[in-house]
Amino acid sequence: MKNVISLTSVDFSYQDKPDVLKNISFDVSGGKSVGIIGPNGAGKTTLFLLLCGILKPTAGRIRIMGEDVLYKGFNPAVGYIFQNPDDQLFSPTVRDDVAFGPINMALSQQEIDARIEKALNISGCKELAQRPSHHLSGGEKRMVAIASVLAMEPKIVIYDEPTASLDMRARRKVINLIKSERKTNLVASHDMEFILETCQRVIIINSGKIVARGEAALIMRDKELMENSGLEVPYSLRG
Amino acid sequence: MHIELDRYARLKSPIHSWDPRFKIISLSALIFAFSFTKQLTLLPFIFVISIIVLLLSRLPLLYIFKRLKYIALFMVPMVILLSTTSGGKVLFSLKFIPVYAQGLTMSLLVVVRTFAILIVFFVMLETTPFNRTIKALHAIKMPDKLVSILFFTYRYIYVYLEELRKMRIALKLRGYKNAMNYHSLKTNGGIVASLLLRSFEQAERICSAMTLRGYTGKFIIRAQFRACWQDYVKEFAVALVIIILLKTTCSL
Ligand SMILES: Nc1ncnc2c1ncn2[C@@H]1O[C@H](COP(=O)(O)OP(=O)(O)OP(=O)(O)O)[C@@H](O)[C@H]1O
Ligand SMILES: [Mg+2]
Repeated sequence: MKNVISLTSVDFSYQDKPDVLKNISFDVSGGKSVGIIGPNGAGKTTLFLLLCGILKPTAGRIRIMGEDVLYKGFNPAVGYIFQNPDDQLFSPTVRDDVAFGPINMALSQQEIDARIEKALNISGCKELAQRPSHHLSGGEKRMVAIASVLAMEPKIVIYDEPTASLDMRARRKVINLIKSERKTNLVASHDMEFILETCQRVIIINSGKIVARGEAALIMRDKELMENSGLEVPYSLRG
Repeated sequence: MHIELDRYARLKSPIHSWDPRFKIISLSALIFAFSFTKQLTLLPFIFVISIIVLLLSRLPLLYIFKRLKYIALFMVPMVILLSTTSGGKVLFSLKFIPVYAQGLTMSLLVVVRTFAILIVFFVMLETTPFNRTIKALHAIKMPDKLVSILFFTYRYIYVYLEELRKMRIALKLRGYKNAMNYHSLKTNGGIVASLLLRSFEQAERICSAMTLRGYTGKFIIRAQFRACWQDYVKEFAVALVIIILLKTTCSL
């Protein structure tokens, strides 16, 4: 299948932190879920911010569905779920927040309503619709953040630590959701079992460089590789 | 400390059920009419009207009076100043200080008018969830920019207050107590600084989040307001009061 995401030799530096990402190249083909793993500060979030056009690579090229990412613009093909939901939820009520993207996409009222319903349903946030988003618990906020991105029906969904602050049931819900949505997903997480369940492939990033990539179970079983990257082999793969 | 903006916004009362667009227009007009009254004889009338509005709203009286208390404290010096310096006939003297009739009338006018206006104002704000008020302002054609600013202020005031609350808890847990010394000053300065920095950085991230979802600078607010006959009746009642007020003011 065609590559929907394609990075070629991407470098990135922050003003006060050089070489956060170095020579990153990879492709993701449509409908696949790819896990991005690596220790704290490896550059996962930075990579995602580049992919959705919030940051601009210092060098290299990023293409989504064959087109260059629009820096600081609206890339409707990419949905990004922030690591911290408070950065993402800004509307007075949950429903308003979920509606925000579809309204901006100039859809018909009927279509907007349908999308809101659908997104609230699959994320299990239906009961929260009229609640103010600032009075929700951490886990509830996370699910609303997911709903508000899914309502835009992006082709690619980027999850940045989606299971942080979720209880077992909510975590399970996210797993099922990622598995059932036939989209291209990028998932960063420190929850290795979660990555193993949701992703076919993984990419290990350490200190801004790709150190390994390949089939999830194969890579994550490699004890030496994992430990050198500050990671642990998930329990289910220990022999 | 949790600020509760919409604490009583979901009670049931004739004022709560009033379409917010009508409510804002009618009650703002009433406030204007109040501010134009200049006759002492009208004071009881506007006072009673404001109390009736308050009672109709079923807001807890204590809650409103508590909020008025601070303003009352603020007004005391003004009353004293006005009634002892503003010329005209000396009504009586306290020791050597003269109390002027004109000053006293003027302060009475200001005090009653202020309270009546504030009561109506509080009722207007407290009986609608704030986000509905914002949408209503948009619906009655308040400028986009202003509505956007209100909207964000509303949303993010919670984030920052929460942030502040967390920082204070963190301080307390590590044994910090406010005092009048260098250490305290430095700590509080640090809190303000990091709150500002955090707000600034968060504002940038929020801006990104909005761009990612197609925001281009113009807010598209879709509000669902539908007026029914009761809304018109209530508006008519307020309009009547305003007309009476203005008519009396002009004819006297
Ligand atoms: N706005 C910024 N300005 C300067 N440096 C930054 C900024 N954001 C992140 N960094 C630095 O860039 C590096 C990569 O950060 P990034 O947030 O991408 O890591 P991460 O892999 O997402 O980590 P985590 O698992 O903790 O979320 C870190 O060393 C971090 O200190
Ligand atoms: Mg991160």
